[in-house]
Amino acid sequence: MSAPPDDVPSRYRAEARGRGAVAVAHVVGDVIVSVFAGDAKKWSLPPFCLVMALAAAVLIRNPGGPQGQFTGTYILAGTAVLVAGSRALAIVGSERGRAAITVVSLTCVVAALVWTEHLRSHGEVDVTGRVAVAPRVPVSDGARIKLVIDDAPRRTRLRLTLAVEDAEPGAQSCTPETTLGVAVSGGGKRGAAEGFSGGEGVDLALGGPRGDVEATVTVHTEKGCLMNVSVATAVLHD
Amino acid sequence: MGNGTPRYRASVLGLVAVILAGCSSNHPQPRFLDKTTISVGMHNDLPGVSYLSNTYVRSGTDYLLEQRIDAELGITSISPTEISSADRVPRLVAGKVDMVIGSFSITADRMKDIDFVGPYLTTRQGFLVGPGGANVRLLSDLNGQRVCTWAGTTSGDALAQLNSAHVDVVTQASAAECLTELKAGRVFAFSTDQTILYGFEDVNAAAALRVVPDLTIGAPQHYGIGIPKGHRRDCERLKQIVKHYVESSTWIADIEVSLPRIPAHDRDWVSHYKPSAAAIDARSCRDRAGS
Repeated sequence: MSAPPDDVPSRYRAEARGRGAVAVAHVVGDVIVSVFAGDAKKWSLPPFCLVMALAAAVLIRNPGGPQGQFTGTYILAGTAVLVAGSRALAIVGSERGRAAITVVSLTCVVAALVWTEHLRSHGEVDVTGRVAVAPRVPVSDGARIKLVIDDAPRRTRLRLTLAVEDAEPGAQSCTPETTLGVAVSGGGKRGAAEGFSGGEGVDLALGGPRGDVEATVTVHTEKGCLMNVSVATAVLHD
Repeated sequence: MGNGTPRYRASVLGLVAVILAGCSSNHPQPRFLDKTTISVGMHNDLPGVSYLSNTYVRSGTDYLLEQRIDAELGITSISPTEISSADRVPRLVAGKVDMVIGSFSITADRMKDIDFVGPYLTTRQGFLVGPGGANVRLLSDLNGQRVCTWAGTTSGDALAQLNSAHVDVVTQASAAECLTELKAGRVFAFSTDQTILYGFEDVNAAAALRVVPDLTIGAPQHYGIGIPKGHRRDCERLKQIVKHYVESSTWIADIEVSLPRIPAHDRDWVSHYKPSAAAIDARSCRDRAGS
């Protein structure tokens, strides 16, 4: 059969593309088969590299914040890497076993990545260092202190712990009787708490997802006491 | 029976000896701070609070508390030794005294060096004036005047705030010296804890000394018992004794007897001067005050 001329009907080009597609499909099929259950010596690295890349993405996409919330993602990613490593080192000999551990490792690392993405949107964000406190001077009974958090990831709640210390530690002991009140500024269902002590955490509703937060702290202490009030921890969360 | 008498006597004596030995091993001598006898540092010159008369008779709220602690602990404290305000913490830390009951204000700084038990009394810093200060009512009435306080106390720190209010602060070594200065007219007022001032007012009625009512500066002063750190179990024992004491009618009686001017001047004095159990828990046997 002679080669078709350039102006032959398009069905020849279609056939050519079809052959290519079949070839590509064949290669892809080989890869998939190899990834999940292929020859241990020839195809052991690709699944491992894939898992490693996804595990790296889990770390890179980590949004920061209280580390406790990431424990699950670390465990999943670590498990995936270990399992994939065992396959790369051809520790598991059977084809079925290799397929199983590949499925397990990929499932784990994908779950870790999905979980990380969820935490990027809804996880806890430590904003302790971003809280502006004014005034930063010793205060007496009835004083009001303003807390401002600017340009933070949007969340619906603020978990706040304030620290209270005697401003004149050589002349007084007022900390035990000092209590605080706090109210998130703005209308609506914004959170407020009253009568809590330094070191005691309060959880405040922000009245919807907000990245800019303003709150007012009121100090209640005994007459003549001068107190230092600071932010011990501030964590935004949903 | 006649033949057995010496043997009988020996048997009885042996039995008595065994009983005595048993008693002594079952009831060891009470100990506090790892000692059977402790030394207590106290003031000698604060009438109504802690005073040693010319006839060597002790009196005052601090002394009565010390006596009750001795009885509760079952130990003997050697005759209280005089201690200056400035020496209270250093001598406790150095082990020169085992306990200080001396109008000793609990502060955050002092809690780092020693353990406190208390407060057993809460007071505020006030002003004692002579006949020339009959019209004093407000802090502004002290502008441009000389006001005496004594070294090593929290009173000096609070008075430093008054420097900006144009008060000339004079610091003496002891409360007695400030009193002398006031009676001699060399200072216009004497400022320290009101409990101490009421004691001076009581014994100096002839000199027409007067505690200015409702005129106070600084934070409340919480009197605690100081002991060295490292004895938390004994500290907790002492805390329970103090809590029980403060909640009892004995505490009221001790104040009424020692500082009669306080009930006379302040009808609601118990709520002003008596610490709560929570206040005692928050400051006793700790490195820093809790909530």
